[in-house]
Amino acid sequence: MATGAFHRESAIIEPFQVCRHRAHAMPSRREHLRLLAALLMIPLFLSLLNADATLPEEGFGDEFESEFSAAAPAEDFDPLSGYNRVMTVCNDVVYIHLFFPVARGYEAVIPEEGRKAVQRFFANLHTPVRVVNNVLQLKFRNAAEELGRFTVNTTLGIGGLFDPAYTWLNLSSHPEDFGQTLGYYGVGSGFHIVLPLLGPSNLRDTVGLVSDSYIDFGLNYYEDRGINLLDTLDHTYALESLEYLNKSSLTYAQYESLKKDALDLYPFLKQIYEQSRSKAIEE
Amino acid sequence: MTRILPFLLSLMLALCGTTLLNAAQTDAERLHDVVSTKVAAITEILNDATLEKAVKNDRIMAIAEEMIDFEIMAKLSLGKDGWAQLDEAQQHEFITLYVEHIKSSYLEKLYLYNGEEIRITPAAQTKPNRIEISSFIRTDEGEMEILYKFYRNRAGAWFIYDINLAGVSIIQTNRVQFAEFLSSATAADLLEKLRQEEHL
Repeated sequence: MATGAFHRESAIIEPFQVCRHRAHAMPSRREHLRLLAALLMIPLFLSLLNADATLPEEGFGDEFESEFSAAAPAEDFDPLSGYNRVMTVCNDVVYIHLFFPVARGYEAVIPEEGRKAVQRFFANLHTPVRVVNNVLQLKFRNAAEELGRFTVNTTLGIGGLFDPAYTWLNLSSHPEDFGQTLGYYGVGSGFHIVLPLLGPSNLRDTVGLVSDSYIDFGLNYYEDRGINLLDTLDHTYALESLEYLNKSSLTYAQYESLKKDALDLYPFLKQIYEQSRSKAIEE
Repeated sequence: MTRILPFLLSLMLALCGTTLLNAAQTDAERLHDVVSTKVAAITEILNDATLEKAVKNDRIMAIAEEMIDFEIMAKLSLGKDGWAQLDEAQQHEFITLYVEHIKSSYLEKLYLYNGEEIRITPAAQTKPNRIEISSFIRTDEGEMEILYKFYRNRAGAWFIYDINLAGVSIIQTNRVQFAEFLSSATAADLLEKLRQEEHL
């Protein structure tokens, strides 16, 4: 056995010894062979790599663990957690016992197509926010598409109730807000804040929300701003309430369904919010 | 010999490379077809007004189970550390309870589908044993992405181990929840909570 092994070994070594003799004469060929020997290892290495990747991992392969721990939020700075928890419960109670029953009533009266048309109408009114934020993120093509949608949907789509821009011209909406713009330029999310009635947010997005409402001249009334589509602040409140009610009628089922997946509502909604915002900023 | 060697080596490399590439390509393409067919089959069942909900559920689950590894989803949701806190009997019970939970949650989300247009993009092989396929559901506010993440199991079959809904990973969300829960409660409390939820 041992001699056999020895013979095989010497057989492998021999060609290299031969080239070592020649190497004095032609150093370039020696280098060449070394390179080849290294190359010879590549397929072997590749096959090992491939074999490793298919190792059993029905349990907790380190690959799975590292995948999820890498994506996990780092040190969680949550100075408002006490307030946030209370506000999450308050919001939940108001949604479940006040808003959703009203939304159900509204749902019973207005057919779904009508409610979707109302949602499109409001989305069309918010166009300035999307245009400005697309421009701020240098997404000029998307901004132009938004302007095109606004022109077509306001006219042919009867004030935005319908969406001929998409159905006829394949112009899509590109939602961007100031929170996303800040994120785009590297501003971190800051700590989490649960807003009354509006739900999960964070420091960056709350700043974004305020800034956006100033740009949103179609719906928000600001006395000191030059352009206002509405005449008074009361109109803003009335329209925003309608928008909120209409939106709730289309989304309350999602909230109720999501809620069932929660062991603890606050960290659950917080996770969902932060992950989806990261994704929206990434795009 | 030295003249033939480079030729042989490059041939070997080329063969090695192309087999790897080919295998990857066919797997990804095949999975794309599987997902497209199954999504179409599931939406057809959902849209069928003549079927009772129980029948719909059974048929949808039969299709989904061929594609989704609910058990690995339950395990990964709890995470390695959480899993280690459970004894064998508890682990067993956890899997049973949580697989049921994921299944009913999955079905419930499906019923939120309302005939929207669905677009499935080509699969991307991110690693030799990972493939990702995105589908986009058209809503009035743009498109919502549903990302299916596949892994290749010991037997060489591809199964979904996580689904991202608009960037929200089901597994990641569950992991954070479970970790937070277990930081202030015991494994027995967790199982009790899951048992209660099942009866809701």
